[in-house]
Amino acid sequence: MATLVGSSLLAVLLAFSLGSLLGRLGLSFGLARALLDILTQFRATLGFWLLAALCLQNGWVSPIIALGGAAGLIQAIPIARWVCLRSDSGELNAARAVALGQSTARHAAATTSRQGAAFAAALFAIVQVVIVAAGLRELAPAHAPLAEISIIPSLTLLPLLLIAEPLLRKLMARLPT
Amino acid sequence: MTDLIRRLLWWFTSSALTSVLLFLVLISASSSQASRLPLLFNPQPISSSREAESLLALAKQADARIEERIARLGTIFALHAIPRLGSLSVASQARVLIALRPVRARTGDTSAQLGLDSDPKNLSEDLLFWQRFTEERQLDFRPPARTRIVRRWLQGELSIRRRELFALDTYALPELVAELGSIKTEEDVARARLLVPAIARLTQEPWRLTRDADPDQVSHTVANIRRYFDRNGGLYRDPAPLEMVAEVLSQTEFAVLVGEVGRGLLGIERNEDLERAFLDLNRASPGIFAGFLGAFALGPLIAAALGLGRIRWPRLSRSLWELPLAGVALLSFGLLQLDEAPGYVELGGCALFSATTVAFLLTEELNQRLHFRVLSVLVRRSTMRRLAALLREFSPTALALVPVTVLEVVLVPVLCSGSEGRPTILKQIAASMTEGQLEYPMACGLAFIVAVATLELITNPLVGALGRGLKELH
Repeated sequence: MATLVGSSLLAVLLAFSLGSLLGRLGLSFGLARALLDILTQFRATLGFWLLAALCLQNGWVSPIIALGGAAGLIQAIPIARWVCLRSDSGELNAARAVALGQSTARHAAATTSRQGAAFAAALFAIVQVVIVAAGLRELAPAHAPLAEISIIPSLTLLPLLLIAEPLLRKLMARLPT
Repeated sequence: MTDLIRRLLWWFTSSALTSVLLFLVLISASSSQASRLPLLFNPQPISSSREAESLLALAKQADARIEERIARLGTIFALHAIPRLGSLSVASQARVLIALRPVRARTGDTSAQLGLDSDPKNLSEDLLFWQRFTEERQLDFRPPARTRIVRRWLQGELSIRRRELFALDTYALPELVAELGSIKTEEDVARARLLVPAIARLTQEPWRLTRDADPDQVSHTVANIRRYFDRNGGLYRDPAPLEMVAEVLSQTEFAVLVGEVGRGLLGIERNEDLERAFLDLNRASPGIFAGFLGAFALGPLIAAALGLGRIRWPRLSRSLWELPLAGVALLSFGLLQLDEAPGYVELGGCALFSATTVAFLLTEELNQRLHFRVLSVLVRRSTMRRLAALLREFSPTALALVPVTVLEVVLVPVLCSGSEGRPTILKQIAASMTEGQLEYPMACGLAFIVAVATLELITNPLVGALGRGLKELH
């Protein structure tokens, strides 16, 4: 249970922070957008699961970091894509904000925190932790952080979602805009 | 048009780069300890001239291991070494000439087997033989002549044609392997029956074809020969300086794997791992289809229904709309983890999991957009107009979701559906990696990469167009 909770918190934080960072880079550099396309494809090949299994097998990181890191990275990619998407469809707002003296990066941070899908994707990292744990059970059975993934331990994460949501909202509200 | 070309070029480039990334992870996670070529870039690719030079250097140092390597390199070594023999000491020359005797026997010269001692008289005869050989057959050791000799031999195995082929020895190998082709018909089998013993004789590898070998067995042997040449073919080639750039990339583990997968995809040879991957992906396709249907038909509908609820009861907590969705996603995933779930439960689970995943994201997106001013306008409209407004609001987000939802759509079939006692795709990926066989995971990965890259190609311009349309509407 401690592994699940620890990984979930790490995953949510990593998803939001890395997603915002990648998105901001994507706003400024075309190369970062290209990297996002590649990471989206890599995400679909279960590459992050394999990466987590590799880290666990070699004992490079603890199970909490492997699990939370993989789930966080998986969810950071959609967040970064949405930050870029918003900038595409909201060029006028961006131009207005920049004209008022706001930096592009700050504008991106603000739009990320206001964007619902990105926020939900960060929260969904908690669900993703359960899924990655199930995957790691197959890929690295000897090192998997959880011996069994069934309905009961999965459902215990729901209250965590209840707690994490207002906390994440408060964190976002404090972001400088 | 320029935009389309740019996007198509990016489709290829991004797919290739992701394949490289996946390959690096797979090979790092693979537990095989077999000797490997460099992974992506070979700074010192092997070539026949390089190998011959290093063998001559070893001959100067009286290294005992050269005999086997010289016999393996065959006439290619002789052509390179004989003009340079003068630079060696008499003892080194003797070592080289003795090591060349099995090659002399292979070229069809039976007298080579008579003098197996290091008698100086025999050695001078050896030297004379090789000097005459390189001078007389100089014209045969050119690529067009080699192609002509091999093709003429394949037309009918006459003794004169066989002698011509034997005289070429290892120089004929690249052409012989190229002539193997794909094995589908009886004619292909007959051609392989000629080629396989000749290749086995020259490489001294134990490839055999029994008299009653069927096309499948022949194809298997041919695939083994190609695998050997993927790794060792450089020994029998002497590329031009510019071609060495290609060798730097082609003599790598990545190129070997891409070659194997490519030949399997083009139907040149049978690859059991590839066939298994396609069969498993085909078996998982109903689940994947159900997942897509759930994600992009049921998911937006659930989100729209919850959005309508939020317009009707705006004071209710936002969490009340989202948490049940996350709960259902977790429950459906947990249920699919149970063993022996019936087929329809699996399909329903795939659809429900991806639908709730997408609905979870879209609902929160709508919640953010339905602020006080929008709600006050929508409350006064009819249900249908509300629904239309909601769908219009989240359509760019839903479209942008398509490429990133591929993981959520495929993971349930990959992780859970192993019907009829068959292991799941993920279990097979794990097993392949333990055995060091990367074709199966690479084939599955390539299928997903192509799917995502194609979806990106289609949805990226659509999202831009929809976004622009919405801006004009606002």
